[in-house]
Amino acid sequence: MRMLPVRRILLVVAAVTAVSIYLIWWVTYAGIHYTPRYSLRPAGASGDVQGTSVRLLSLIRSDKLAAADGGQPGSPEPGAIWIVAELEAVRHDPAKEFLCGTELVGPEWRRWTPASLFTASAGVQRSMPSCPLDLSVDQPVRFEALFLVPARYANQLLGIALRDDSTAARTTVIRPPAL
Amino acid sequence: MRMAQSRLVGVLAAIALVVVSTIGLRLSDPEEQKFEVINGVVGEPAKVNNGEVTVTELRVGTILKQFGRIQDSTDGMFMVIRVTGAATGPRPLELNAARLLSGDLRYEGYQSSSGVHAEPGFETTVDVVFEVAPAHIDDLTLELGSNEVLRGYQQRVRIKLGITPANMEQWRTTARGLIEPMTDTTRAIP
Repeated sequence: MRMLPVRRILLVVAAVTAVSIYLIWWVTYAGIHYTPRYSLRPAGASGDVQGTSVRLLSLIRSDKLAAADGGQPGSPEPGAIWIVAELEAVRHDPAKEFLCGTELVGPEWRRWTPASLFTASAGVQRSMPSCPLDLSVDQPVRFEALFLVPARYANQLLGIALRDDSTAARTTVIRPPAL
Repeated sequence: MRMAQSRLVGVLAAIALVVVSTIGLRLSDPEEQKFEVINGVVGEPAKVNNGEVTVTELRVGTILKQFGRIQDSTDGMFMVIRVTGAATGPRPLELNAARLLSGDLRYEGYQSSSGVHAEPGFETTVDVVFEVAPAHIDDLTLELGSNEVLRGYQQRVRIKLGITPANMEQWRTTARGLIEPMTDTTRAIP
């Protein structure tokens, strides 16, 4: 049976311990100090995420959300306003799939997730899809994302963040041509 | 001095298991976590990271009505606590875990009843439901915190509900009949 020196064993143990301590420290530090980082694109320019180029065509404010079926328009919560982001996506990489991870970015990097996740806006039928899945390669597809924000921030919006939780790279923020 | 290779593997595996177990135990036992306690009182906003939270109302009953029908009844008492969370800062307010404390006793939220979440610039009001034992409501305190497993720093808000030995019997007597929690409401912070 092959024998190993104690010194080598102690070195290995010390290395494992040092790596463990570093990992615990790093996780704790990151938990305390983590702040998202952004890369702001020029107005009208597209941003790339998950093998797809996404462009923000318009960012429209409204206090009513029109229903495609002619039904009751969606009203925002008191003191809030709808923000409708019209986007265009072009998939370039067939190996990756665009997952529609969008967030509206406002002053001091406030972020709002699409409203349908949190509000009754899901009950309003819209003519444009909110998340087109399984995009064809090189075929532009338009979709929209709805947000509900306090009305006082409506004039201070920066653009749409294209989230990709699988990477530590800066999150791209795209802006409409008009902003 | 030399050691067999198989023994070295065993030693390293044991060390790795101890490290993993320690981390696992630390993460899975929230009471072992260090956290900051923010104390508050009913009717007054308690300031926390990312916003503030206020308890405005406490109701009790024995029959729970939800979604337009009788949901449940109890030999104990249902307690409905109205909580408003306001995300005054740039980040969401996430106090999703709610429980009631009375001495060593802990009551978790009834069924899926949880705490409060608000997006930046909004305030959300929720009715949090608990089922409690009438004999153990002395000094009841609502605790709100985060549900996250991995976190570097956490705050917990503790708000005393004003139930004392002097008025405990009055609460028990009041806890008769129907009680209906309201649906969550959200509005922009004025």
